[in-house]
Amino acid sequence: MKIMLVDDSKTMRNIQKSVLTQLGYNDVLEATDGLDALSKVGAYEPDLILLDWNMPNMDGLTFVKQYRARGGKAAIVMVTTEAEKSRVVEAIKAGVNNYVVKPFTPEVLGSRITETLQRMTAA
Amino acid sequence: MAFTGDGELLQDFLTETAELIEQLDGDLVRLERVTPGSEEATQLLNSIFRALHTVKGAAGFLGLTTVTTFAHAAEDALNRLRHGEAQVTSVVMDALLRSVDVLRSMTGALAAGEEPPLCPADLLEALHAVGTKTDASLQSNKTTVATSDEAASCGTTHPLELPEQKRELLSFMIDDWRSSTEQFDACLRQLEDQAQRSQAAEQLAQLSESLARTADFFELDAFTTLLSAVHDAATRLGGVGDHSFAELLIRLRAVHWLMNEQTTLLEHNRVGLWPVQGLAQHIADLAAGQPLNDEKLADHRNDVRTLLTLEGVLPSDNASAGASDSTSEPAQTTNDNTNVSDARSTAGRHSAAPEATIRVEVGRLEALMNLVGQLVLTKNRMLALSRRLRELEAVAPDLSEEVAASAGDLDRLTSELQVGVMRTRMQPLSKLFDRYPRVIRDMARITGKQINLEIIGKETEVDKSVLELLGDPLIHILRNSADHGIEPPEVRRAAGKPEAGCIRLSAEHQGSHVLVQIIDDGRGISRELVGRKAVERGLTTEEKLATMSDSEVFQFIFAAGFSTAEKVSDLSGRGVGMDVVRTNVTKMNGVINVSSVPGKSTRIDIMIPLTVAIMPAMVVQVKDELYCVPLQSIVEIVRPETTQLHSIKGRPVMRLRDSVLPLVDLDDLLRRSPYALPSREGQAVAGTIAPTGRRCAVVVCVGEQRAGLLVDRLIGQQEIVVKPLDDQSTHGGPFSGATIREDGQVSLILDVVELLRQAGSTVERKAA
Repeated sequence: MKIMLVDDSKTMRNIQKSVLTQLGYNDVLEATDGLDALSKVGAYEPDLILLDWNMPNMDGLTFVKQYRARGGKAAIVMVTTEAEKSRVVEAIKAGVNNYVVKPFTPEVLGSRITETLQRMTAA
Repeated sequence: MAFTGDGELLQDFLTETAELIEQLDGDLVRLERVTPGSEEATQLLNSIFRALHTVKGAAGFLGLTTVTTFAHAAEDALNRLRHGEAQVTSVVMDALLRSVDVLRSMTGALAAGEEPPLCPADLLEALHAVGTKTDASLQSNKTTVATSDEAASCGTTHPLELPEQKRELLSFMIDDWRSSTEQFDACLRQLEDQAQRSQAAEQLAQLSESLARTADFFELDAFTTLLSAVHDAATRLGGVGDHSFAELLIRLRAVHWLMNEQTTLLEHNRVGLWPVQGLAQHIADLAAGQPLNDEKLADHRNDVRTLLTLEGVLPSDNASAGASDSTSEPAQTTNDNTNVSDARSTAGRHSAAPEATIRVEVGRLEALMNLVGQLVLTKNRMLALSRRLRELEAVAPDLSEEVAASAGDLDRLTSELQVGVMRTRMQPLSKLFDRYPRVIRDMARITGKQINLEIIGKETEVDKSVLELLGDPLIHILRNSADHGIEPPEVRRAAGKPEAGCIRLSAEHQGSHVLVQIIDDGRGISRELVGRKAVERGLTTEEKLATMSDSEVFQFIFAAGFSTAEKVSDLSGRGVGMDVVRTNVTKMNGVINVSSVPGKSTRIDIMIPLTVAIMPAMVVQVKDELYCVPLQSIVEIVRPETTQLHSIKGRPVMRLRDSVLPLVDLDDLLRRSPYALPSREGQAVAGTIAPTGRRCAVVVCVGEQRAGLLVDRLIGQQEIVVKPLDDQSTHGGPFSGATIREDGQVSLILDVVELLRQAGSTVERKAA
């Protein structure tokens, strides 16, 4: 299972990465914003992308649009805040498969990832 | 929370937040200057919002409630600014800048292991007041009342089973679904018009794609299937014949009908369980140019419900509407047997790409640097031992050679290691420079002046220790420039200058040094005023003053308690500060020089070595003591002929090529000064070769000052590790530190700046 972690905050990436490690996902590639992620997805071919919404250079939503337009198939889990929730539908229409509101517990992120992957496999 | 109290994560948070605070300061100051509503303003607002947002998010994880609450308030204010609900007024700016200060004190407390202070209530109020409007938009979340038994539609339905976080979005989704359904209808109307067909098809393709994704997300599986088929069909409509097109269109209408049904169902928290496989397949077939395989399927008389019955989506008699839920249950459950553990087991096949940078605790680098320092000393000692062994070559020639070779390798490797470790400590000056726009902005605001700060070369890297020592001096100089240098707008206008003053801060590498320049286009410094004050304060005499160059006179501004300001202002002018400038610059073995064109400009040059911890030095002998002279100050070493030595006004000088150089007799200076070591006096020269013949003049240069240091003998060049001295052990003598020499003995390092100052050297003059 290859997971890409896209967040401009090093702290957030570290936190999420430690959660992923706890959950047993060890193959994790980090990207610092949408643009960085876009340049890395081709070679890395992630199975799942954990994506922050607000980022410099290219935000999460734009990334989703561009990634899907290029035929990207990975499951995308958007990491949002309570306030961004009203906009999640927009992200869903762009191709986001799930979302998780921060701050989240390791359990929540874990179940969200599992849930997303199950739906992807079932489809 | 699993994260609370995690020291490393907290450290990460503090480091990142510190960086964000610097960025916030800079962004806010820029924000105040750009045109409201411009592209740049938008970008800045976004950048500021992101920074606050990041702080809030990370603080939330770490359970730092105080920080989270506060960052949230600031973020909200920013959001209203971003959305144009409030204007960037100076009141707003003050609140935001104050917020940054509060954030800084919060992280400061956290770093010190204390509880962060609460945000002042008035600031919170000010933040809330920024363009406050109703927050109603967020409250429109009319949570759907579930468990309505009314089946609003035909066919089998089922309660919507969604994970909690998806259910939370349902109200947003229903609004979107409804309007999308209307758009879908509009597309279908346009499709009937030949002229608009291709454009409508394109729209339909996009719409159905995003709807398919929505359906997938909310687990409306029938629509995922249907809308994916519609999407595919819409992208290939061009090649469809008229008859097929009509058949396709009625099926698209059927999809629209189902979407409408689903809207109603969603409002009752239910989902339609229509068997749509056939319908989807036929849409795909028709779009691919394949005729319908069953003629009966065309027998719909253009009625959507009839068609849906023909396609098997709706039951043939509508009596079964609202059929029992339990009968259709299996179709809806997701495949619980899908296991992710097999997916996990593949983890680690591809290791993550290495990161471009890692963060290292400063303490570790310091420790490493210390070890390298020790290593350099040991290496020096090793080289000395190897040389001694060579003298005993006859005893063991092979051994001597091998030791010499190893010592040579050790020398080279140590040097490389030293450079390597030193480079890990290099940091860009932007760490300091990025703070200054805020400083200048505040100064301008308080003094009512207009000041532009121009920053050049902030990417220039210097050693961490240099960076730390440089911070305070630069702030003092900038404050001085802003407070005393730049004139008020009306004065500037009267003088024919632009109303806005300009301070230029620049940095560049010059060999192993960094040159930092602060130039302002203000009123300049008056030599007369500084000179008069210096005499008043007894720092010099009228006679001495007359022989001094401008830059020597200006050095007095760095004397403790020296101020020429007529009245003491709140900002600077208390005379404290500028002495800190010189103290710190000297600590770095740096040189500071001031020049000024009265009425026009002031320029301050600070020349500092890239690092202060290890440096090459020339070891010189004066009588029976060895001293180290930092190599960076040495211009050349000459052995003057007696005919070159003269004296001017009772001071020894030497003629060097076409200039006259003041001479400092080190023996004389060190002997007569109060800090002379008592044991030196009258002691026999032991174990060293007494100087024979002419003495050497080590020509040193500090800024524009040059002088020759007379020494008895040159020992050679060495890498020395600077060990600081406390003031008492040197009695304020011209020493910047001590070091351990190759032979294990201790030597003092001569402080060239201080030497030149104490010797009262004058600037060299061109010999006629």
